[in-house]
Amino acid sequence: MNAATLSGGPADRSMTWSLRAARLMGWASFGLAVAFVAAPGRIARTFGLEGKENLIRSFGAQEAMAGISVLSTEVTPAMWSRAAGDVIHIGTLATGLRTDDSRQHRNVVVGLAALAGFLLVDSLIAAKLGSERTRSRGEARDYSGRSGFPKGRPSAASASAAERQQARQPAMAAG
Amino acid sequence: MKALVWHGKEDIRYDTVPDPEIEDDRDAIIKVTSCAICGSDLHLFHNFIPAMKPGDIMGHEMMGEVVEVGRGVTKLRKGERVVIPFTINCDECDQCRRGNFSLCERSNRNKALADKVFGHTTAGLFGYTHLTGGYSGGQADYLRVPFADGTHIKVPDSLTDEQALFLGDIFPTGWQAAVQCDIQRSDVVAVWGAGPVGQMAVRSALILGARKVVTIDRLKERLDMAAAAGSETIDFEEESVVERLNELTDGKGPDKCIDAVGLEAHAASHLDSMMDRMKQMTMTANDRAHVLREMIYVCRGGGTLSIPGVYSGLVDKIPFGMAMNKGLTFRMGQTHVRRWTDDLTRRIEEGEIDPSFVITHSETLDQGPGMYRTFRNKQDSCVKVVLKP
Ligand SMILES: NC(=O)c1ccc[n+]([C@@H]2O[C@H](COP(=O)([O-])OP(=O)(O)OC[C@H]3O[C@@H](n4cnc5c(N)ncnc54)[C@H](O)[C@@H]3O)[C@@H](O)[C@H]2O)c1
Ligand SMILES: [Zn+2]
Ligand SMILES: [Zn+2]
Repeated sequence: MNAATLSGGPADRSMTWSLRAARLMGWASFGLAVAFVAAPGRIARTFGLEGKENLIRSFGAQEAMAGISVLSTEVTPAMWSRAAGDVIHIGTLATGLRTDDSRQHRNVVVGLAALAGFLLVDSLIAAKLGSERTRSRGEARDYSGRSGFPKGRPSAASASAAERQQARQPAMAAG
Repeated sequence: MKALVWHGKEDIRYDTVPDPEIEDDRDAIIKVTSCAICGSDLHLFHNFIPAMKPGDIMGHEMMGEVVEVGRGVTKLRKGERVVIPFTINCDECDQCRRGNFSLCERSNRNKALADKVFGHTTAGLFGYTHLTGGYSGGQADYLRVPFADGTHIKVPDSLTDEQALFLGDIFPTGWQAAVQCDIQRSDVVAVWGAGPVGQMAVRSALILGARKVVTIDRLKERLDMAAAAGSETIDFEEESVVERLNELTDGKGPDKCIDAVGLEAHAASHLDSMMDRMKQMTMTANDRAHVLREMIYVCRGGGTLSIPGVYSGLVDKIPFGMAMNKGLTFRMGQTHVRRWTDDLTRRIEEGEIDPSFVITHSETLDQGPGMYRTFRNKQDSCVKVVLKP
């Protein structure tokens, strides 16, 4: 097994499947953010969350932040925080189960199932990203023989003042 | 031909692209025999350096054989073996004549943009941002070398590719970092970062006569490699860097400090670097400056900070008052590669140093994108990757 396969993914592409999936979830966050900010009333009515419009709007900001951070280089912690966001959404949506409206009740159940799916996917991606980026794959190799000095280490005395001067002001090659 | 192509953040692919052609009388084309992945490539990989474009060919450490020369080229012939410095040099402008090769005033074809962004243009660079000309890089089968008369280092037959390749970047970079320190016989030199640049800086400081060199990193295999040259080591995840450095210098602090880390400094447990990371995560700041802050704090008064590590934009919360009052000297820059390479080629030939010690992985070019991951993730004890087209 060569080193490239070691870090989990095709060798001729630097992006792994998990990173691509994470990017997709990042863009999904932006989509959700727009929905939360643009149509909080409609979302509240669909899921029996009337009166929680402001909370729903604030989720918009949270999702936008999640999207930005998933697209940054700190993608593993960002995916875990997306998963934490899913848990918060599940908690909020679950309060909608108290509704008397059977249509709303059905929507909440469907919504909860979808969110559980998101939570699972986000967690799987985060875990996969974390594992493919840990260093602990492969034994630490021994480099104690790599001095780089074929004739032995230089001693402070071997660098003469003249040589240091020459290093500081080499003859210009140009001109 | 085949090449490693930048498509976006963390997205590098092994693609088929058009072969390069002579575009100007002063161009040459080389067939690449060896190239490498540099720490600077990781900054591009992470999109921390602005003005990359999808389709850009990566790579600025490369060597090979001349296969074609333009009519205006007088110092190179077909068949010659050359290392290409990462800085493109016209050899005629005022900066080139002063030996300030990374500041060539003519080789950046996006000079107007660079003048606006930097105040004054810097040299054209291979496989780097469009701010430095957007020239195609050498992680490819072939490379077009503009201003070929000034932009090559001839390789003596006695040296292997592995021994010569790093003359184009990391060896002179570590060397210039040490030279900038004006090392005196009594000096303790501290080097942050035991990556390839740090490894070269450690050995250069020793050759230039430092009394003691101390290397700081968190990766055991890299610290071991620095120790193999005779450096003391500090694992910054296990020990306090400031305390240990003071201990090793009888409380005085290192006389000279080298930052071979750059803008992606890592230090999970310090508040300042957590703030930097948060800012990067929310894309409100670019550079993580933990090492710079630590150097300013721990350096002995009157000392020198030498900074080969790359920074790209605005750096937040630098204790400049501390630096001023301690009378510190700051020296930095992209390396003036050819200023040093005659001397360094001789040192390799004479067996004083063999830069190939740093190579831990050698693969074919098609494995390149995967090797970016391995190098970035510091897996499999990876220190330096060489790729063979
Ligand atoms: N000036 C130039 O012309 C020039 C040329 C080549 C490379 N560079 C720059 O030099 C830097 C190093 O390059 P490299 O190839 O060695 O890269 P690298 O990424 O392999 O090495 C960086 C090392 O720094 C260590 N590090 C991270 N945070 C640290 C901290 N807080 N304290 C101590 N060590 C820390 C990392 O563990 C790693 O080993 C990069 O910024 C690169 O862009 C500059
Ligand atoms: Zn480089
Ligand atoms: Zn010039």
